[in-house]
Amino acid sequence: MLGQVVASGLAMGAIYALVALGYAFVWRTMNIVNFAAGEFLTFAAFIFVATFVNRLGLPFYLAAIFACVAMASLGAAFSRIVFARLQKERTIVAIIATVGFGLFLKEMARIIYGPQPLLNTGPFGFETINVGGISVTKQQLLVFAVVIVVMVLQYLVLRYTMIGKVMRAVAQDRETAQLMGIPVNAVLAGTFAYASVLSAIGGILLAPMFFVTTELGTLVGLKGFVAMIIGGFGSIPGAIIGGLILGLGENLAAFSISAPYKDAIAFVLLLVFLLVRPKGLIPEASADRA
Amino acid sequence: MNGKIKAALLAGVLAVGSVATASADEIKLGASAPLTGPRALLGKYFKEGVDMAVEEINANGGVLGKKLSIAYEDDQADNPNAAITSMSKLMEVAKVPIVLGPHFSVAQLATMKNYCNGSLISITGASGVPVTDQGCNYVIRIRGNDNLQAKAVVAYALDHLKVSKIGIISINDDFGKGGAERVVAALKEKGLSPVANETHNAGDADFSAQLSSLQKAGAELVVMWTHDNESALIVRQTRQFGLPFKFAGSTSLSQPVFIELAGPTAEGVVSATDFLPANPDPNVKAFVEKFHKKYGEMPELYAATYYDGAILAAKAINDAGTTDAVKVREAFAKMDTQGVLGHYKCEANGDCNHQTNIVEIKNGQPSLLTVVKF
Amino acid sequence: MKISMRNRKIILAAILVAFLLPPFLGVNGYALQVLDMAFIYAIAALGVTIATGITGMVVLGQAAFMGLGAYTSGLIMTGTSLPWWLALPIAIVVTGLIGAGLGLISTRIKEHYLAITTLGLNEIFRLIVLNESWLTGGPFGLRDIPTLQIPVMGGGLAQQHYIPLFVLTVLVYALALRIYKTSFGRQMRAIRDDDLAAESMGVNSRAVRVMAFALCSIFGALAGGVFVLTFGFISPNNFLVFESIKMLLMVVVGGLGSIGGTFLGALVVVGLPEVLREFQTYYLAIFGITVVIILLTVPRGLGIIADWLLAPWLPGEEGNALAQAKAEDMSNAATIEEEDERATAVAVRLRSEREQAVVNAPKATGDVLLKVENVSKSFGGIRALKDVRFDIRRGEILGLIGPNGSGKSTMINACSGIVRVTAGKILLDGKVISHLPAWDVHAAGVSRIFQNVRVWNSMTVLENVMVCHAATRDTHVITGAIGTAKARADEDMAREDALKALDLMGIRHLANRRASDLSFGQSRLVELARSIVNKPKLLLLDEPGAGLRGGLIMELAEILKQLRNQGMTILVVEHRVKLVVSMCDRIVVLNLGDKIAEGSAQSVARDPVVVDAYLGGKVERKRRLKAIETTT
Repeated sequence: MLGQVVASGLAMGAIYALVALGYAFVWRTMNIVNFAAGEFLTFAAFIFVATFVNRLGLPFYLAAIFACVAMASLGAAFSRIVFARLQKERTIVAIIATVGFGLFLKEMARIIYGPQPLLNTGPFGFETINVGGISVTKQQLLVFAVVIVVMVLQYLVLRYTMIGKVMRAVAQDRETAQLMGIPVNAVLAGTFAYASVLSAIGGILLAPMFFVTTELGTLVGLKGFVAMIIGGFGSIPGAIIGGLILGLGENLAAFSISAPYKDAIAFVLLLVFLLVRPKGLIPEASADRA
Repeated sequence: MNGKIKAALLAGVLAVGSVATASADEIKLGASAPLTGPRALLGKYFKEGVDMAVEEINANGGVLGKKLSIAYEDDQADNPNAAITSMSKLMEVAKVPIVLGPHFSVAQLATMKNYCNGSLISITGASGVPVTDQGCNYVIRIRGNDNLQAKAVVAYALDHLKVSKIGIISINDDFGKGGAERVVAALKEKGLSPVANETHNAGDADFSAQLSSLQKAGAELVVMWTHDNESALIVRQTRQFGLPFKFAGSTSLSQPVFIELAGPTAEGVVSATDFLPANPDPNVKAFVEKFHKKYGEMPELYAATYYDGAILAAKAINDAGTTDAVKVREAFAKMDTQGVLGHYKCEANGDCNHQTNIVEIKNGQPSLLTVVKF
Repeated sequence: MKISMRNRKIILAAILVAFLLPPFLGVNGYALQVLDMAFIYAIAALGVTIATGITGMVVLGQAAFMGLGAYTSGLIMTGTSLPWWLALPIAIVVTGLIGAGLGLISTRIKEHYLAITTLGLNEIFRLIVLNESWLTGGPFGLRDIPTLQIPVMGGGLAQQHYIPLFVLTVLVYALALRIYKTSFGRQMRAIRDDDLAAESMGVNSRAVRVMAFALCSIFGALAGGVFVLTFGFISPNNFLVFESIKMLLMVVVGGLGSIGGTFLGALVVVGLPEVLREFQTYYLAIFGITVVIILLTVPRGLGIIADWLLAPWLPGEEGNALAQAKAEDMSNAATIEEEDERATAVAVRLRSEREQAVVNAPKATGDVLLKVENVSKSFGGIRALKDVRFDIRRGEILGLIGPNGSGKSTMINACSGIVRVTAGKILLDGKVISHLPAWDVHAAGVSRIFQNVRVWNSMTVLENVMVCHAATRDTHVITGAIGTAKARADEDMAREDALKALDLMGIRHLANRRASDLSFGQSRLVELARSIVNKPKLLLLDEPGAGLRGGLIMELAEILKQLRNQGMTILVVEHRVKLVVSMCDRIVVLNLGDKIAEGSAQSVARDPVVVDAYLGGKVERKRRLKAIETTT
């Protein structure tokens, strides 16, 4: 059974990693932390289940793609309307505003889709696979597969195309980047759209494992942020590793120490890291942000 | 200009305070229910039950010859501050003699200090044991409390399911913790103790840690005291992991939301509930038919509870011949009547319902196993 | 808005009296209870205003402090049967100490980290009270707390508590307004506006942050304690993270940082949902989006109203209002011209004063004031300073020059204590200062100005200067708030000296203007006044002439000469060689972190190594580019 605890922990950790990645990307290009990321996840899960699956009757994968597209456009729109304006503000204003925006998104999800939890069995229903004596749900395997594919694709894109460089240029000096002919606003909107898609994938993957409620993303969003801090603020490999460590650590601790304090574990871990290793496991090179 | 804004604000607050109360040919009762927020679904059923009762009462001549009406206020379920203001509004503005609700134990406990001075009676379905042991003379509970439910479930499990290794999983709030404590107490009465006592937090979605602990402890039966969503997740994950537990537990396990969300994994789950639509009892049958006719859907527990609540309130006022809360409370003390949930006879502390049903989910429907009377 | 300060006081008094009336007008208990709740939240939210709005530390866990105060006083009353008037102070002290402890952590954890940490602590608090039911009563809450009965006031609990709660709220707000104006209040605001500048200008940011956090938790605990006394019941559900967010909402609606606005914010956030009960379903969504809209469009929120009303008690509001009216009258161009004229006039006056006075300037004595011993500094792998050593002699003006990226700014940052040296040490008057925090370096007698002007924008010019005065440096929150004779004397001394310093700069007329309203040149002069008000032994100037033109440059040069004549030692960084040569006694040249020359202005200017460094060798250009990235 320990194996199952590990498997579930890692699956959850993979989701945290997705969300943490979103934070890292937005931080690297826009220098703000989107405290509404968890609510983007919730909203995506609702769009996916309530609108595309239940109302329009689309199959899982098609609905997933549509949900991602919808969230990407929402993300791009929000980044232009709200988040682009926040960049000029003091950090504290940006923090509070994104918290407020998160509240708005969450309540909108409840107003639009109602308080009832929504069920989506996903492509596999209850099916499990026995891997070396551990019964792992197929949905969990799907989570791993999707997260790995996302990571690899993202790595390739950043490594072999100009996109990565363009993003870094925008992050470092927006005015110069603009002078060099980089469409800065498009890059910012694109980054935010990508972060929204990452949240959306998280929501779509979580929906069949859990039910879709307005609370679905809140803690996931916060823990994704914790994961990014643990991994190294703004660091991409750090976000992935931080997510996995957090998911696994939290489940193992819940299993062996205390389940009711499970949610506290993440925050205690955060405190320890902030005091002992404030730059995280894989610190982002400090020269980038100086 | 600024003074004006403040004055306007103040005037707004005052205006709310001075909304006209009941007219002369009408008796107004209050209802404090979760009309918005995450538990708004409960509030919807609550309201449907009460509205239906009021319609019937008025069709049958009303209360003390006057029409009965209900003032609804939103208490946001388990938000103590919202419950305090909603009760306060019913008490001070609408000046009602009886309030149906608040439904959540924590909301009851938060508001008691205010309403227990004899200005009104609260009729509640809150099942937390402390609700009726605070020395408040003006709370009337029309459902079996957690103690009764827990005892019934434990007794049934030991006698009929023939299990001895019992684990517990409960949610970390007033409902779950209260229930789990009572299950432990009920087991103790039978000379047993739980092999594992696990808890989880509201909104938790991954229960692998708790399930692992239960498995490690060798539980045969898991008594579950948690809400609909979480219950459904727990039974689903149990089946996914291929664990062999049987499940029994609180009312949530016979609620429609649980049955829908848990799907096939709900089969065979046993629970204690005050209300069962499939109950062959004629009172229940009549209620279910009327409800289905009016709303086009099956009633559930809370609709039935507060339907009974409204009927009892009207009866108590009629018995007392007045809306004076003290007199009405005396009428409750003498009450001995049959309702949808069961037979009502009030003890001094306000507990009026002493029976519960043990049900099992069969073919996606709860079916009655036995009625337990205390 | 041409209502005089006196009339505003009258209006405020009328509003306060109006607030006292409802219980006597027979207003129902429900409305009173809602207002009671608003008052309690107003007190708790005021704590958030102090920590978040005024000091700039995001606190997303005020509900936990409120809960800590509530549970502590509740448990003391139920467990030991101590009376409430003992339980409440104990709870406040306990919570205050815990708050101060967290404040200590907050000096290491800032911004986003602090936001998520306080939020996490709120969640941990909830889990503890929920799970440790042997102590806290668990999910059913703490139920048997005796409420405070005040039969004199008549009616139910809501009515009995209404006037005491309102009076308490007014007192707490008055206290906060008082603190806002004291030296501690200025320090909090300086940290919020620019913590780096605050630290290097003598503000002990660690002490101030700890204190602000303690105040935040104390107000939270007080609110929690009176909540218990009013309602007699607390449960974990009263203190959810959501409640913390709600309090933050009050602070934002009230205009982040406005004390009076916070009160209005609390009234709105608690009262509006009651007025619009039918819209409960929507109001959270509306509140959420309102926060964003307020922050982006009217960041001062309801503070616009409150601050106008409270202006008689706020620093510089009167002068500011006048100045604004004046500024509206004039076109922008005219002000610039006028400014230039004024600067030239000051320069001429200073020069004639200097020429008339018998030249008795203490010549550089040769006695070493500041000793830079083998100082190195690396950022990551890049070494910005390599084994640099030089001395500054008492009474001289030493120029520090070098091409971009040569390490000049790093050197000046190291001397002022905001950059830790990697190796070597810096001594002032024979005492090592390179390990001291910036504020202690400032206290030892080192002041500075920054390359890009860093004034505290939200504060008045006078306050900007007063922050740096030695007499009000130590953070005495209590004596300051009480206004003891000593505190008042210190305050007067600081004000007088600050005005003198402004006089010297020729900008005394701007004393009550908000720093954000100043032109660049004026800000530069404020910064200079700020840096000399504590009569430093050593003044560090990082490109003082950058961005200045015409009359202002002349004025600056005259001021510096004047200061030197008064015996001040100055280290000036400049890359305009001409300006440096005309001003400095000696010059040190840095290039790529190395000291490459030192000596008199003439000798340095002719040094071939220096010339080469400025024109740039081929080999070095590449390395220099790299260094630029690291030093900005």
